[in-house]
Amino acid sequence: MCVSLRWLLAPLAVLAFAPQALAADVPQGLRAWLRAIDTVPTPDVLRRASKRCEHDLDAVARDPSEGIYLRHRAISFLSMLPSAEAESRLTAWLDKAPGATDAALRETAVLAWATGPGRRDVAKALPKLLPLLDDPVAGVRAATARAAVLVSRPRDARAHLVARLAKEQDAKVRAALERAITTATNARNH
Amino acid sequence: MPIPLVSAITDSLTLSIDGAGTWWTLAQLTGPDGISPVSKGWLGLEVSPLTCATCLNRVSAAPGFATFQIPATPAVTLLPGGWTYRLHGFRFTKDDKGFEPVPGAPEVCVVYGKEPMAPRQAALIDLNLFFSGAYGIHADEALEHPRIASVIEEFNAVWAQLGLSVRAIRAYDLPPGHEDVLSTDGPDDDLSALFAFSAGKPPGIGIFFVKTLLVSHTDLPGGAVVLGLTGSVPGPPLVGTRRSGIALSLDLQTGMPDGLPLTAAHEIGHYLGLFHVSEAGGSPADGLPDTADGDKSNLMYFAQNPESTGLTDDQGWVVHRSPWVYPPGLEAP
Repeated sequence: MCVSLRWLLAPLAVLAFAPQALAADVPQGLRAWLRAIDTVPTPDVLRRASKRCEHDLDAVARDPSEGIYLRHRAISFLSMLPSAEAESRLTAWLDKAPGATDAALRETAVLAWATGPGRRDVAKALPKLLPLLDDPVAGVRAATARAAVLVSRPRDARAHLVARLAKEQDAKVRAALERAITTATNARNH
Repeated sequence: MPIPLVSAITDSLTLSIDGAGTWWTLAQLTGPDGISPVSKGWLGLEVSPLTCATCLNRVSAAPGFATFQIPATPAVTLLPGGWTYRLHGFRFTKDDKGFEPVPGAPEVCVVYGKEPMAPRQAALIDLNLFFSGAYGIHADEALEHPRIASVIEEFNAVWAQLGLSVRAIRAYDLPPGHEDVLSTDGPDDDLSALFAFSAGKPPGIGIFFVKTLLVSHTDLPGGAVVLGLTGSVPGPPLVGTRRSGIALSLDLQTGMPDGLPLTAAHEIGHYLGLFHVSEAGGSPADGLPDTADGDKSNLMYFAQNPESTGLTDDQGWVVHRSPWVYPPGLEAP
């Protein structure tokens, strides 16, 4: 009888120490916006949907048990919030070591960072983005090429894009660089 | 401004506003009986000028080229006689705080509806499919590609409820460099550049297949990925404008089942004049008498859901007033 009881208790003990999903406590209102097919909230609407908006978005983005669309949406929503915490959390995705997370999430983070913090602060946009042109992951390099011309002064990126093109071997990254160089050449810095 | 006289033989019209660099919406619309389906003063009551959810006739703003269907609900009757409207131009403020008015004098185009059609009357639409090369899908073999074939199959299955089916499907390749849409309004935005390729093609709803779709406004920092995006709700009544099309992301949809076909059917609903039956923020949405707030079984539910395939009679009434929907036996509009 005692042996049987011990076997019954063992799985309960395992459950007690099982890691909780990172985003389990995210408010339903914020989840609804993350699930939307084609609508985008304003920063004010996001703040009303969650008191800990930056924390909750990052939690969804980091939680592998969440749907892939929700994770990408959560990362991109961080770019819309004009707060130091949102920028810090989004920047952390750029700084993740290759292989530490799904590369596609980093690609979305690069693009989102360029449209958010990259437009809010012209001075730090390219210094932050351009090192990622040398990232070991081809998709991240391609995303960086596209991102470099989304910032407020795209013409400033041109020389760096040309330099990277000279040594880039990956065909898809080369195509992204060539498109970005054309955009940078034609752009009015605004 | 007066709308040229509405005659007794039509029961709908489409109003398009062409004015680059500014978002446009209807500030007011008043019929010959003095009733305003788009009520005076709604801009002061809503949270934003993007959508009037409290107007009897729903209106949704769009950048550069905006389109409005009148009526957008069977609860409004297009009485013969003189109708007047007022426009409102605006932009996002750069400080993330909201919106500010922009003066301007756009061009206005009015397309009158055909003879009235019943909500589930057999009818046709034509599609022009454009391929960016994303995921290696090109025009010459696109219709045999499983993901694209399922888009057409799902369209015919879902929209058959309202009597709609696809007549002509044409496929085109886009020039290199349009795999991603990373800006959606502004002087040189990707979405407008994409939709411009619909110019010169036969009449049909343009559907553009891209890799990544990021909603990003020129005056508002930040960008958000989406699964699909229509140029405006409803879509413009002609090809070649900066809002003439639907962009669909081939990314983030893969799974079991692939979300692409339902996303396509949903976006076509917007193009034909349907609004969401409920919004993520919980605000009232389409204003149609027979759709229920929060109905997850409806195609126009705001979130992706494999069970969201239903359509109602009133939604049928709306789409049968779209300039893109025509009865068998007639040529495409």
